[in-house]
Amino acid sequence: MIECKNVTLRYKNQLALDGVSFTLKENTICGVLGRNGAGKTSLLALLAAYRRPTSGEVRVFGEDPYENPAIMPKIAFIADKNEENNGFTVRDTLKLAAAFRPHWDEIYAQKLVKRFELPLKKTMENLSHGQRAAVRAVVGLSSRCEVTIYDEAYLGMDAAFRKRFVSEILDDFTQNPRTVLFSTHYINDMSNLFGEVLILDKGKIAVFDNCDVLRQKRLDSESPTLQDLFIELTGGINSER
Amino acid sequence: MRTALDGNSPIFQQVKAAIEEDILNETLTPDAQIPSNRQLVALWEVNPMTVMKGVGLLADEGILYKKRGEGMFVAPGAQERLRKRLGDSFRKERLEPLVRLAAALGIGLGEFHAMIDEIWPDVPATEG
Repeated sequence: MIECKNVTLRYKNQLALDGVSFTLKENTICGVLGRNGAGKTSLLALLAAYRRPTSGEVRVFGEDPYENPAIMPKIAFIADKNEENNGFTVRDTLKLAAAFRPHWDEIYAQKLVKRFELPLKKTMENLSHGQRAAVRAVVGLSSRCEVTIYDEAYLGMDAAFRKRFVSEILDDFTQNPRTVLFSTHYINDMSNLFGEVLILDKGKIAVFDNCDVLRQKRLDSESPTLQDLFIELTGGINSER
Repeated sequence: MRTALDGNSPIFQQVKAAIEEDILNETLTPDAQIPSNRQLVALWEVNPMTVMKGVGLLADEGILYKKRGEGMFVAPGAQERLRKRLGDSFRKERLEPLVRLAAALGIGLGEFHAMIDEIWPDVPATEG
């Protein structure tokens, strides 16, 4: 349902993705892990139809998502930062998102605004980092898209907000299974969330597997956690605490 | 119910073990309803699919049964069956290798029995 075949993405003189191939089945939460510059955002941007690969094929619901009006409304891409200095209030930002999202759930959005204690009348640039991240989280959750992609979406959130965000993602997923891709540095906090995990290293896939299968494989090793595996494969810890 | 899953084994196995633990210690008695998937996901903050898998395996094994539209319940006799299974695996996976090791070390049956008799009273919560 999400498929990459030998995908390469080249910026001027830098190879961001190098021969990436994988197939992700629907209705799963997939963690996308990698050090800075490993290609996480590049990959997610391709899946979200924000970019087109230099070579190879990207398929979402069996089609090329790029400028595809049948596919794009089904994909929500929540970036770690958006253009948010446009003078819009929180309310405007949510209204705008609602206008573009066919399955927007306004009741849920209002509930989330309360849960994250968001001031509707404040403009986006007057919010704290954590509040801006929470607005993006509200957009991602309320969009109720078949494919929801969070790129480091919790950055700036404090521990309490992160916990609320995670519990909302899980609760929403339990009731309305969908495909969620979630890139993160907070491996230990998040590793129990993932059904699948994809680890990128220097533009290539280092691991793509079911988390429970990985746990089973590594059970007898001295370093059984996902974080250990990540460090082993990529040489980095990357937890920004 | 255990409040955290913090082992390194596959999550669905930890989910299964946590429910089994509550059946064994009679926190969950026959025909008691177990928490919903949604409640378990919220409690442990783990992937919903893996919770469903753990609960589903217990249903396949007949430890839990499903009432349509209501949820999952503890099957009558579940505790006895879990005890039996634990006893079987204790015998096969723990005791047999130990007996083999004792024999290899030249510890005789009488000496082995005596060791157990000696240790047994020092272990808390053993009966008889």
